[in-house]
Amino acid sequence: MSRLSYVVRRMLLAMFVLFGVALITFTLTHAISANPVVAFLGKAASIHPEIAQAYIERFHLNEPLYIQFWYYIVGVLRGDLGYSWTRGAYVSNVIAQTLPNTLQIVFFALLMTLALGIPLGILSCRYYNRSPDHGIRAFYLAGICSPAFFVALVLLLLFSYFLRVLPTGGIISVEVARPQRVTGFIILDSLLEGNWAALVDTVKHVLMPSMALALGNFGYLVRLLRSSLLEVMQTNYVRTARAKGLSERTVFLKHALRNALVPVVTLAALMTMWLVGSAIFVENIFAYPGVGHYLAQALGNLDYAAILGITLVFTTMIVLVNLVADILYTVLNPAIEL
Amino acid sequence: MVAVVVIAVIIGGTAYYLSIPPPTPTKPQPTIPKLLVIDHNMYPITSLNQLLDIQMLPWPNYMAFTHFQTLVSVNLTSYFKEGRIEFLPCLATSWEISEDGKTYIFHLREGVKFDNGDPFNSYNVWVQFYGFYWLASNGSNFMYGLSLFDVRNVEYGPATVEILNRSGLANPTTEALAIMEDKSWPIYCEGPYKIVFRLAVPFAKEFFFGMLTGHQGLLYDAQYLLDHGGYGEPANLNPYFNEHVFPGTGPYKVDEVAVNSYVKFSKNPNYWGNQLSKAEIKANAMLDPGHVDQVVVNTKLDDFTRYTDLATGQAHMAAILSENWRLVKANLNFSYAAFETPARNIAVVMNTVIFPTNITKVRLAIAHAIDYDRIIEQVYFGQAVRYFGPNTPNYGTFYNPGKLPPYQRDLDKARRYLEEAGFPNGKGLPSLELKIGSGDTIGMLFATIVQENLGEIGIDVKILSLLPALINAPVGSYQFNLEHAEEIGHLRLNGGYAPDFLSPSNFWLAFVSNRSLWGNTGIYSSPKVEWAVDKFSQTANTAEIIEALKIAEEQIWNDAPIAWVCTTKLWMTAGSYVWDNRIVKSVEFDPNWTGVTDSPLFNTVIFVGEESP
Repeated sequence: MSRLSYVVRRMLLAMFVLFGVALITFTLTHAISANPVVAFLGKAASIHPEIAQAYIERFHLNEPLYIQFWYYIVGVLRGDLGYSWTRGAYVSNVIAQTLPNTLQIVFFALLMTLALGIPLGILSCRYYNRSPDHGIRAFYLAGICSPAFFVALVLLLLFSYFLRVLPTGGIISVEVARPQRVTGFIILDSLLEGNWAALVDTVKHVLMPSMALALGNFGYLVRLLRSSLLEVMQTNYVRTARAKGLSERTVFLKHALRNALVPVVTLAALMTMWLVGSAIFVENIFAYPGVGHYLAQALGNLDYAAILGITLVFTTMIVLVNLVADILYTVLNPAIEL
Repeated sequence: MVAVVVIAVIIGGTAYYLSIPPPTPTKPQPTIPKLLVIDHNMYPITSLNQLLDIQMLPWPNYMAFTHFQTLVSVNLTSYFKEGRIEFLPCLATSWEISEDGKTYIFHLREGVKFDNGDPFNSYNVWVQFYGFYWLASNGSNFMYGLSLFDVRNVEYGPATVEILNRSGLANPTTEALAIMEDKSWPIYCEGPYKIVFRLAVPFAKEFFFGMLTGHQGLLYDAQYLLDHGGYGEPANLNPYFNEHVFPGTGPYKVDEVAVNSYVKFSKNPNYWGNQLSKAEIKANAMLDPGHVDQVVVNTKLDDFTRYTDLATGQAHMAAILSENWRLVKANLNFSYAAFETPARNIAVVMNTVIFPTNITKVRLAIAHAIDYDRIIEQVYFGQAVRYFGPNTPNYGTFYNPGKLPPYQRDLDKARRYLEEAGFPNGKGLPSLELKIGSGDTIGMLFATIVQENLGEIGIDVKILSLLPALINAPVGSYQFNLEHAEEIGHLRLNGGYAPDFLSPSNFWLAFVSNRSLWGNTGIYSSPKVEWAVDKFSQTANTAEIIEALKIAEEQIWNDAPIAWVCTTKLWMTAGSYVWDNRIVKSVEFDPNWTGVTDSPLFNTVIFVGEESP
């Protein structure tokens, strides 16, 4: 099957997945409370019942659930994810504002995970069952055992409270001029604008949240790469490469590492989604105005449209990331067929 | 040999160290930052877009009196230091009140401009109030849900807005003036600097002025509203104003809104009070033009993050909650806000409709079993005072006029009440449900104490932790509560409810009246209490009202729908605003706990080394 037809087939399948996720999330969220307007408006719903009624009519809340779902799906197909009452704005607009911030954290967290995980995985394999291997294991196990919010608090204590080298939170310092919004990614926008002060400042702000995520995740990568490398190093083709007289370096880099990285790509894809999920806690601690920050608000206030919209966007991301991972397999190992 | 050298070095080093004289304490140098940084625990969406005020309580609101001002303001000195509510001129310089308490005429301050240069006049005020009317779907209850006005002749809607759009508010056209000066409407202008409110019922000054200092009384630039798309619809408000805050007349203007991150303010060059004398500021601290050029209010959800900011100098003030309160208490460099006339009421509300809390003696047993002192000590760090409601001690003469004592823990008495109710040692009673919001650690601590206390007299309490939104879902007006009595449960903790506006009628209407629009989770109603509550809208004679309240309060004491626990001195019940006392010398707070704000009036921050006005 050609790569294009594979992608098309996967995208069609994704439509069903998204529909299913929307249906389940919609049903579950609406099953929680009979009257979301009361849950949202609180006392205002009884002080101003006419306002509550206006909302009920606007969002078809007086219609049966399946009709409400129909309106929702039609809206989604038009690009309208609904109205977020906690933010007084359309969900798609709020997500467009906040998602780049989350992706920024996730991107840096992934970079840090790879930058830590790959060299340590290689070292662990090279020094299999020796002191460096044991030391690395202790390090990553500490990371794995610590939830992201705990790591975040430790980092906060270390870098902000004691060392005072990194800001406690936010996305940019107030005294630094914000770059013009072009891509929505504030670091990239700073770079595009040549606003070096903003670039340095925004990178400083993203470091701790990303680090908090990376420290909890890199261990999985180290473990996987280590075992994958150990397995590959025992294979016939590595033995053949050595027998051909290739240097150990060439054998390792060209033959062993490349093949050992295939499962790492799968893990990195999965990890991206873990990172997005964990970002919810980290964003709240570091006051990073990402989609996790928004989701926390939405969950607390039963902001259905926001919960649904964010779930759909996350699902779409999962589908896309997995698709990219599948395609990457074929790049890393042409023997794999789609 | 080496050992000798090492010992010699250690001894020599110690001797040298001990010979250094200890550093002499130095007097702190005046430190006035260019930028005042305040860390808050939530993003104030409702405060930024004033239109949302009709739907939600704008809390916190650090725009109140720093950016937006009201016609009258509360005298902070009399309120906080003397326990007396008094109102001072603000955007209105004087007023006239008719004898029947139905007509209020305000003479507005001339020459006032909004921070964008638009003139402030009576037409602005008029558009704002009818804006609320329109957003409340033309309801007569557009002021805090109270039906104060007769709106039968009012026709305010898109057609009126169209006329106003064509006219503008600086120099209205004859067509626009014909509407704004129409005396058949309950609010009307008499020229650019006089506005009249004609109420349908008498409402004493203490009540009406209290409402005007609340969040619906914060005045914004209505011309800006007209220029930027208008109100929107009642269920679809214009979102432009979420990030483009209305110009205000206050000492600070909003420079930047970074959604969910921060709001940046700077001094308002157009502020009418920039030239006020020290004596004038002393008389009304709310009018202080401010002492620092720029102010940033950060949104930081995590308590430890805010504490770290404060401890490392990244913030000068921060809202610190119970999680880190002990750290605050241990740090001598921190001062915090605590008040002797507290208004946040803490109570255990008992459902008077469902079995067995519908039995008065069961409720009295519960009220006498609770260990109030332990709750105050363990939950509120000892920073609370006992009281008997519904009004809180901040209401001066309107607080507990009959001087009734708060319920006291007396287990023998509690057991006797239970026995008299037919449940000796709690035998025959079902488990009582007590619902609290998930993640509410303070509520959980409070609930477990109540559970333990009631266990001592044989009442089993089941604590249910639910999403906060679900806790509130079955709560609404008295009638709504009556229909959802089972869902409300037997017991509810009132963990810091505060008035919507500074009016002595607010708590009475909210908690113990069958006209309650929100708050009467006890679903309590009594003819004597209703008779007293009626007085609020029957007479402007406050002495008569107070006499009626005395009788009603006695009835409430005997019926015990609510076990009034305490009112807290700390600003956020189990936490408060904290500041670095090496930089900040003092700050004033707005007295309307939730109705307007929980936030410091940052224009009143006096820095160390500065002279107080």
